[in-house]
Amino acid sequence: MELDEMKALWTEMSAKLEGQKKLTDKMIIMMTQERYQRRLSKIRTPELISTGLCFIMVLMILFSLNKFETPYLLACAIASATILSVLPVLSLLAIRQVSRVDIKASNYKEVLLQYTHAKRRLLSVQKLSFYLTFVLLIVALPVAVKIMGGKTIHIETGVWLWYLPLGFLFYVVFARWVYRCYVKVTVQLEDLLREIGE
Amino acid sequence: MPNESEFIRVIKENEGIIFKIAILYAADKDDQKDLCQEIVYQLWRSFDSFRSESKISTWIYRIALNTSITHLRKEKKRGPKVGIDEAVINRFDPEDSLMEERLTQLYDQVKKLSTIEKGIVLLHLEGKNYEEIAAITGFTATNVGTRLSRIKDKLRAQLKD
Repeated sequence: MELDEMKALWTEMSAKLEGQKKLTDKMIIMMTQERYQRRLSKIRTPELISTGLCFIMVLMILFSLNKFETPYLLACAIASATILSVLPVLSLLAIRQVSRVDIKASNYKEVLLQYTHAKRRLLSVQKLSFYLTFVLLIVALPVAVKIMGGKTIHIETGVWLWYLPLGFLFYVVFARWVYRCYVKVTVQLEDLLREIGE
Repeated sequence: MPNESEFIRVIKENEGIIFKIAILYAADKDDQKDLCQEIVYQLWRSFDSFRSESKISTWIYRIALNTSITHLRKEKKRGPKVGIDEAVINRFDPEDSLMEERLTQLYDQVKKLSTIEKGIVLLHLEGKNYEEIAAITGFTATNVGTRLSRIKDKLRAQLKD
């Protein structure tokens, strides 16, 4: 359909719509109510729960610091605690930035720019999380075993043999899929930014 | 708190704009309901900040289009819905099936355009001139003209495919 033909059809539809006012006062009022706002909190809830769990794990590591008697275990514990405390905060900040795009003060072009930049930042954080999770996969095992009262020597001899190859295999398969998704979204965002600048 | 009765009057007068924007930006009927609700909610939140320097419809276009950009489409992210009647979304009677078919074709074509093009073409279809489109979108009037001419070419190319 050519643009002019579209316009004629659109005008015809608009005229029909004008004669069909269907929103009632009750519907409009309900749409303005506070309960609708829960929609946003529903999006943040999984992120907040994950952050809470991460912080619980960080506290567990901190309270068990005296158990890590070797420098190797202590380094693993510090690395695990750092990753567990930094990543969720970065993630929450990035999500907050996406949801804080100023809809009422800006025009379409500015909102698109703000939104695209915020999404790009979120994507970077997600990429960083992904790579650091792999590091966490390695450093958290001896820490977890130690906290639970086990002896790390058993890990070096037995568990590593299946834990690392299996974890690595899973990571490679998952990484290829995630990488393709990231590339797709990044290209879309870059295209959009280029188009805005044209 | 915004004036409730005044807000209801404004929404009722301009519900067609909200519905049409939701059609073009939402993925399906469920998503349209969701987007309609979100637009009305954002309009309510911004209602106090509306100054009569521009037309109320211009302000509605701006907020509604901006909301559509940031609208979250994923099913799993949907929150509670208020009771929007099915009839609000399904506006056309069965005897309008030919028109509905042509409209579906129109929606499909517009949905293939980029987010920027979609916004511009929607305002063009709404009968806005270049200056009005420029005021709502933030692009210059000349740029709007250039983009519209590119959109025309793109739509022609879609027909050939």
